[in-house]
Amino acid sequence: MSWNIDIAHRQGGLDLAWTLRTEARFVGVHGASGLGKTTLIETLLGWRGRFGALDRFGGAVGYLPQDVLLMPHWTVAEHFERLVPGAGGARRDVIFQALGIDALMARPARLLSGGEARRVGLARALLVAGGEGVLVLDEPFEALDRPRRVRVLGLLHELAARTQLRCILVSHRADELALLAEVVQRLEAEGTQRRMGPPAAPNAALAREGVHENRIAATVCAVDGDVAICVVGDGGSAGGVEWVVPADGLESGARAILGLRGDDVLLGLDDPGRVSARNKLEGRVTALRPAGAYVELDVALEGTGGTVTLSTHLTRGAVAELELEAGAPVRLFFKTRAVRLLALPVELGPTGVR
Amino acid sequence: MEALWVSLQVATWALAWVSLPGIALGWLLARKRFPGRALVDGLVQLPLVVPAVAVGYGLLWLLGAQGLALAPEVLFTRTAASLAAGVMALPLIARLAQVAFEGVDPRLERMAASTGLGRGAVFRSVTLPLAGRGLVAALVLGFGRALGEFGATVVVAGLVPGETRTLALGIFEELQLGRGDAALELAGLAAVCGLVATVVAARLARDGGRER
Repeated sequence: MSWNIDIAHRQGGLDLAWTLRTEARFVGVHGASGLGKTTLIETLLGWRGRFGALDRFGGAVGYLPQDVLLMPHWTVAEHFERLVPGAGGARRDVIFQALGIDALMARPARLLSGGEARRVGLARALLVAGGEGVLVLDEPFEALDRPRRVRVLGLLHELAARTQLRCILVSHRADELALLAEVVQRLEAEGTQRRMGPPAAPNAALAREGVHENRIAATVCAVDGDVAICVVGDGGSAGGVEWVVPADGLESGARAILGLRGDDVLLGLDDPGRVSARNKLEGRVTALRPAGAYVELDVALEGTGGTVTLSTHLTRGAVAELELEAGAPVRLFFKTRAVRLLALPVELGPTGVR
Repeated sequence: MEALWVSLQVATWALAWVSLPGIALGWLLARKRFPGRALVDGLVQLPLVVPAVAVGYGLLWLLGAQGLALAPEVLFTRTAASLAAGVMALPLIARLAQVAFEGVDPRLERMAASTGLGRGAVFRSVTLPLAGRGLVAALVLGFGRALGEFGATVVVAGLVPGETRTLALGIFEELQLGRGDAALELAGLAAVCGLVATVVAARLARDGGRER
């Protein structure tokens, strides 16, 4: 079991409780600010209260607190030389580069901006945790501008996929949580009780936050002005289909993770003729699930060998009128601007797998 | 001028006696919660709130043959003068050191420790540097306090010219002998020394504040 957490903590008249048993390595924590997320994770770390779980983690713990806690009298370089000398090996440079802190090394930590400090704090946490330890990240994406955020997210995404790291990720950003976390817990408030809800699949847990439910790996094959052409699917024997997406700083040849909300996808049975939507795809319904007043539909995209599936919600009326059932062929339409760049994966290099 | 020289030597020795205990006490009071903490706090501050002459008499009793006779031979020497001045400077140093340590976010120490730094390394590389300017300011003001000490010194060290006749004692003596001009001269010297100490301390405290 990756996580076996059972803690209770009382502070400031609040009863905080957190139970989690899961095989998932990356766990997201979501909830309104001020409820006590930080208190709970610092209780878990043994920074508060009597419970000290540090030893039970069986690995180094890299913690990025919300207030970052860089040593104000040290330079950025000193943080790494003094706290994690030599840690990370070849991956050290990959991390520094992906987080864009190479150029900050000589700067005193007290002179860093909020976003710079957070990136340095994240690098410190990653190097402390190594490839098999535990990461505890409290709002790591705050104060990062979007171009930086997609790279940071890309780095964490690759680490999640290619290392044995475990991670508790606290964030109020739905897309970031959904991309990284295998399960998401919501901190719920009731009177003076603060309780972590049951772990749920990210899309279900974050449905109300407007999460991009479809997160698709793609490769950029061309950039033309303000749009880019991406190949979705592995592009190999199974093939791939081309999407037209906003250029958004993409470069030809780059890998990208794209987000698409189910609500932005239209379904039809026939060619609609001349419409503004740049993306007109074919697919086959693979599953229909009743979801309240709606039906949740999975559609496997034609030309990807079934490797890419999009989910969307339709009214029962629409499903009935189009006579949709599993196996039915459908056409999908969505605008260029409906697609959003979520992350730019970072090459970890040959030392990536550990 | 001889009085100034004696004063500087006495204050330097006083600082040598009490700077480490003062800083240690400041750290203890800032960082540790233990039974009897209020008592320790009170004892440290005692020389501030009882008459200096009483502190001097206490020292006399501890050291002298009429009391515990810990070291009767040092009475009326420069060593006794520096001990008295040190005891009077200790509360100031301890209190200011406590404030300096309290100004260091314990979460920073915690973070450093959580990455695997040992206690000693955390103290040397995080706590001390961050409290450093406040600690130096505490020592400078403690030095100033020792420089001007009178009440306790006169009791244990008397008025031995060239040995224990500090600025403060010199002023007192000149006044007793009705030599106002000489007293004024010494008072001026004392004022200049005090001013230098406070300006240096204020400067350190201000720079320290900017650093954080």
